[in-house]
Amino acid sequence: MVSMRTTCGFCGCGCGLYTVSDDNGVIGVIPSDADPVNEGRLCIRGWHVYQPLRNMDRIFRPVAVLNGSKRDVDYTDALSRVAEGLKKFPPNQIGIIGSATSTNEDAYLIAKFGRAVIGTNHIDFPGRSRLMPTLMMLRLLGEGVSMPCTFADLMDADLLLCIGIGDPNRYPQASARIFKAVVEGGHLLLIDTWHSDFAPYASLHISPKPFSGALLLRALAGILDSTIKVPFADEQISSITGVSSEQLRAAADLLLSSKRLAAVYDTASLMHMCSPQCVYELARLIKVLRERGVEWCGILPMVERCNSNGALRMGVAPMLLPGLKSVTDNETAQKACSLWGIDSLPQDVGMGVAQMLSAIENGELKALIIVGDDLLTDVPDEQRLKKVLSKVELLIAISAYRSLLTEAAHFVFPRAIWGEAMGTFVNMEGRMRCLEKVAERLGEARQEWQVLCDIATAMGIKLSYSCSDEVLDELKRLVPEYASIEPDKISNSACLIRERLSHLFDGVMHEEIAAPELPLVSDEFPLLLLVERYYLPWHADTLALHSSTLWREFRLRFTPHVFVNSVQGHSLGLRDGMPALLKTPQGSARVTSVFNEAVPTGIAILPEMFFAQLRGVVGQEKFDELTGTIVYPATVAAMERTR
Amino acid sequence: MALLLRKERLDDFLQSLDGQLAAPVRLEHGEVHFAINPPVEQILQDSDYVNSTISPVALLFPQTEVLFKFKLNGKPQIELPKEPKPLIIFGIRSCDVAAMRYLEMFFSRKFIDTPFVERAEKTTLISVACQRPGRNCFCPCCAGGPFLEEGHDLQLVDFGDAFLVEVGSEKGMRLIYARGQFFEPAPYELNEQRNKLAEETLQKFEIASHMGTGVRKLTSRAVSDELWRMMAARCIECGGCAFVCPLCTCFDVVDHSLPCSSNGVICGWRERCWDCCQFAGYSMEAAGVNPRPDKVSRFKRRFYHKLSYFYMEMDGRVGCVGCGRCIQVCFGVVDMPAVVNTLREEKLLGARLR
Repeated sequence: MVSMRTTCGFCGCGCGLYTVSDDNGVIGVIPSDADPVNEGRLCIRGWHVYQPLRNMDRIFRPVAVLNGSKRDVDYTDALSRVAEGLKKFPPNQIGIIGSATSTNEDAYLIAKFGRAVIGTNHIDFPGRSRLMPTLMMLRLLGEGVSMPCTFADLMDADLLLCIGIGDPNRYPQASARIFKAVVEGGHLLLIDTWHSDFAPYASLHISPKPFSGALLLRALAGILDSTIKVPFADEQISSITGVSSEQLRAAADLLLSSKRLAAVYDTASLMHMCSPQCVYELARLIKVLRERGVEWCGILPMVERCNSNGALRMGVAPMLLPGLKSVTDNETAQKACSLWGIDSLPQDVGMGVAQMLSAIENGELKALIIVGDDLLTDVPDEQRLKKVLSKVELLIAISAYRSLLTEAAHFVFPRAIWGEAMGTFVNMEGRMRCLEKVAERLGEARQEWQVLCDIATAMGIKLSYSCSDEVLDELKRLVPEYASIEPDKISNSACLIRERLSHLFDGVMHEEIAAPELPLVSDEFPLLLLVERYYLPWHADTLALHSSTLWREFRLRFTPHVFVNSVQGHSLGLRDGMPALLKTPQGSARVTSVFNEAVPTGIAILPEMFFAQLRGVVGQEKFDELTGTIVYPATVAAMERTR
Repeated sequence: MALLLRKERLDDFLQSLDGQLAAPVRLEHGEVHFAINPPVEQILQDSDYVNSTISPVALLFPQTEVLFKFKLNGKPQIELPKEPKPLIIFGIRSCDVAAMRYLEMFFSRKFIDTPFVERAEKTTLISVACQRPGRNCFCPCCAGGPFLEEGHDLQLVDFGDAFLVEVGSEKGMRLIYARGQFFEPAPYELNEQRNKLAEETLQKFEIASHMGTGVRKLTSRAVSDELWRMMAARCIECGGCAFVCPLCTCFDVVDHSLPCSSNGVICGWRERCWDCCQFAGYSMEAAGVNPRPDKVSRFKRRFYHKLSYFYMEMDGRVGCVGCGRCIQVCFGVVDMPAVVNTLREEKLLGARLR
């Protein structure tokens, strides 16, 4: 029996654990009780993170479409065909979609391959755009504010301001600190539309109406600083947000009573508590609080995937070079050129995921490399995705599992999954974490940095590293701020990434703020139906679907279902877990009604994962041009019991 | 019978043992794990550690265990795992010994669980009585220590330069008989001193869990639904409490098949892995009905199982040995002592009031 230290690869917490192996491979995990991130705790995902390694439903060998039929091919054969194919397209017709589950080393190579080998800035990863408002906020904040703060900082605060954080099991390690803090007598100011399991423990729980979080935060800032413009009268604010002026004032008093304040918000919340506007308003509120005598503020933006923070910092973004430097930043570009041995880098800001998909539809983008499966969940519309991908003239997928992405791909390279890959992650605290190879790779699976180096070499551009450490060393040479980072020192600040952004964003606070436009409920349609992420974001990671236990738990939630609270449910004649008919002005569909006390009265929640199935009934989603994220429709609805 | 084992002879004694030796070692960042055949100089002594992150019972009931391999090609062929080797667990704590004895009873009660029972038969436990309880330990509340009066094969009590060796079973006796050269008779006064040490150790515990009162409150249904709801709100259904609990025995069974089956031959294996009653899928029935569909009922059920009279009658003890591991893994401070003491007070308590 052997145990090896590594980091969980599911969410942005990045928990330390040991894998346990015997003759039958990896057979279990042991949480690390010395780790400052998890202190010996693991959530349901962490306890089962080893299980996908035992699942044989994988892609083992490179696959290629040859003469119209798909078959396993020799690795070198696939490489030379891919290299030949990529040379046919000009750089601006090639895009790369990375993954927030790649290691930093992989992400760095994605950024480097795109820029130095292909010569394009059309490089992005799904979910990147949700982090942009947070980056902007980093720029806006001054001294005395730690962002991101650490989990341990949450325990040091005397008041926790938690905004739109949803259910405790979404970000377990943050939840553990929140619960421990309140049990030990700390205060929690919860601003969340959900009546989540945090609500009974909050000193004050404010439940604003959907989409009104930004206005609520502006109103709070307005109470604390009269120079801040709030374009609505008190009564209007109360009617728009559903929060009384007394509650607002109580919240303001609570905030002012704090000396050390920690703010926590969910960057992936769809209930729009944490829309870009909401994040700006939080920055404004924090600024005001600092002026009003709060001595220290920590802000912890919670991120969903294990390495979103890393992918962004490695330059997997259409406007960023490694180290969060702008693609127009000459100094970094020159340094990269000399380090990468090329003459110039593309200087125009590239396309993000959303624009790339549109560009494929318009015929502007013709070749695409996709790493991982994040796209499946960020574009939940399978039909559209299939249609878009069928238009790509050369589609290369680096993936471990069969999906519609690999179905559509002309070349598929097997990807090493968690436990087979090696490198580092950056968790939501900005802590660099080590990921170890704890199992033998199946078939010809390789890490994406290796595949990309092989493709580059086949294209005649020599790109090779002996190991992932060498990749990290090169990154450290390119970005001096990262040179002193030592991921092995788990309980030391030497593993924390802290950058100050001095450029890139203008840092302008948006002054105008509008009331959300929501459809009006009526007797015929008494519910407001919203789409939201729900429970564990398992569907955000195909890895989870290949763990036997997590798959069993996930399968329970397989039929489209709609949440209402039990009081509302009973009043509509619904029964928990039983079939119901969902009716909207657009149409009707059969669903399962599930009672969930976290849902406020008057609202019904459709989990995001079922949205695509019910689009005809719920309405069309939109891409937000500013952030490149999906905005789901809100509609009125009625539900009735069926037999 | 009591014997003395001088500490300078411990290494030789350990090296003389047949079969695999599992013993506690400290890892780079400070965690304590039971390692198989570690270098003797790395084995931790009584004063060096409180207990391991995961109970050594996991050596006999691991998180995942292959039950058999199969090949379906005409007549199905089954390949059973190799017979277990003899195992000696050195440095196991009293609470985990108590847990092991419970598991032996549980796994051979109605249905004989062959993989566990076969291993248990070949396992010898050399426990070390605790004189320095950790901040999460509460074994005196659950008949789990700190000194054992029964259940051990051998129990060592640290007396500075020597261990007092107490023999608790025939297995332990055999182990000593074959290695008489390492032991000498213990002076009679040591027994008295040992009892004094046990008494003194009891004073060192920082927390308590009033199991008896908890049991009474549960059985008399004195606990309000509201209180259960409040406690369950802090449970995030991670499964950690069940996975680290040395008394939890639930598992799920899964079949895996290999993809490389050419000519229609299907190869694969069946394995079992730990399961937890806090997971929604755990109690799901084949027809699609879940008798415990919500978190509150699952949470309540867990503590009813561990604490109510009915289960005590069947299992012969409360479902806890006081190892305190659930305190370490719990996200919401709803571990065993926190819940029991909340039941006792019939109101929510702060973490410090355990």
